Amino acid sequence: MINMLDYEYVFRRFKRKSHISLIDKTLNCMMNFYDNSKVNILCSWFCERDIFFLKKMGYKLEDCFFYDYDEIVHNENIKITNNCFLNDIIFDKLLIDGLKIHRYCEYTYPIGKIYHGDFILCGNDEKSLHICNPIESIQQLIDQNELNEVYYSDSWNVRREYDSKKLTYYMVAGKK
Amino acid sequence: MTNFFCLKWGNKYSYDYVNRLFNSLKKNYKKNFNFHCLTDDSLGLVSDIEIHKLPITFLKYPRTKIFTSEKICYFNDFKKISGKKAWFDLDILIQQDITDLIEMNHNKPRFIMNYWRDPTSHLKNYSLMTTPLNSSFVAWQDDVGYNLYEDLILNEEKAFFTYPSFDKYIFYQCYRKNKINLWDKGIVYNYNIGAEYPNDLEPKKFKSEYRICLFNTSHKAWARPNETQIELHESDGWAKEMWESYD
Repeated sequence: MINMLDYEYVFRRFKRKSHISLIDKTLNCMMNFYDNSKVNILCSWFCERDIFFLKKMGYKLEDCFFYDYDEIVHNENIKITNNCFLNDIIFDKLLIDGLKIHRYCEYTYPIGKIYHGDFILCGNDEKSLHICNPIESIQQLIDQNELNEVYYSDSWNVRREYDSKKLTYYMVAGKK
Repeated sequence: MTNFFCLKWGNKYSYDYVNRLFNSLKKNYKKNFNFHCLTDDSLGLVSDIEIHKLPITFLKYPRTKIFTSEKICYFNDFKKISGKKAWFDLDILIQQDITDLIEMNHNKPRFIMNYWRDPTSHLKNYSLMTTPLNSSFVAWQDDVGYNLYEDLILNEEKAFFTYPSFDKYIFYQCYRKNKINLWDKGIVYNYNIGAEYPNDLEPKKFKSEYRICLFNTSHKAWARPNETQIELHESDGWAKEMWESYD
């Protein structure tokens, strides 16, 4: 049996400024450019902040869905919402309707090659063994995900808290 | 008839590795078997070894993606051969009789769990692609495992895009879906790290009760200070002596 205290540092990752700004920027983008009733957060990580703001924005929580393949994350999320799923959004066969928000494109195969519809996509340019898809431009996100309409794009620099590494994030809102 | 397999490519490991693995199986497996080597260079291999070409199924992908993906081809290329089967990496030392391990019921391919690693680290670092699995010794039977091959074929573009190594792919896509079994504790240990976390982590020590000793050095990048990175041919003492006894 694993002591939950062992996981404290996992939760600390979630509280990093870079992660919080990623959530805030994507939800802000969603408010400005989309009116979908259904929202899907792919590779959701902990969904507490998402849920707090989605409620404030007037979304019905039964129309908000969270997907993550990390069991620790899932076990925390399920305490907050039943609409969270322990799934790998790339390899598991899933039917996902509505807006799809993916904030960690650098970790995955391009989701636009698998799903259709409205997307908000983010990724950074980190290069490491566990990063299969470093995102180095807005155009890369558009091309990889085969977006044929783009509503908004943005990029920003971040100095990561724990190792001072400078990363650039790229974000695109669009449709395939 | 049982069939054993190994892969040898490039020049990292000499033909001694293959011949000694073959001889160690002759000593430590008490039934008849065929020994197959899939290789790009059969020079120096003893004549009783059946030579095959390396699989080319995934040749179009770079070697840095699902490194050693060739292993999954065993499940397809040899699926019509019935009976017990196992593959072995070359950098292992079989120390004891493994007949019962091969003769077990293998309704799913059986992989190694790295019991010498902190069992919570892969949970805590799940999104960082940490794997506790190891494919240095895998046993199966008949056409078991063909589903794993089929899955990779169906998902090959996504899989080769995502995973740098075979073990990571197997952990995230096959272990997660309960498609493989694991060897119990007490069977395999690691020469360079130890046997079991956290109390049995003394590198280079001979552990006579274990059946197989691994030498894999792929943990170099994140090794703890006391871990070693010694290849089988660089070893001395008991390991060298045992390895050379298989000539």
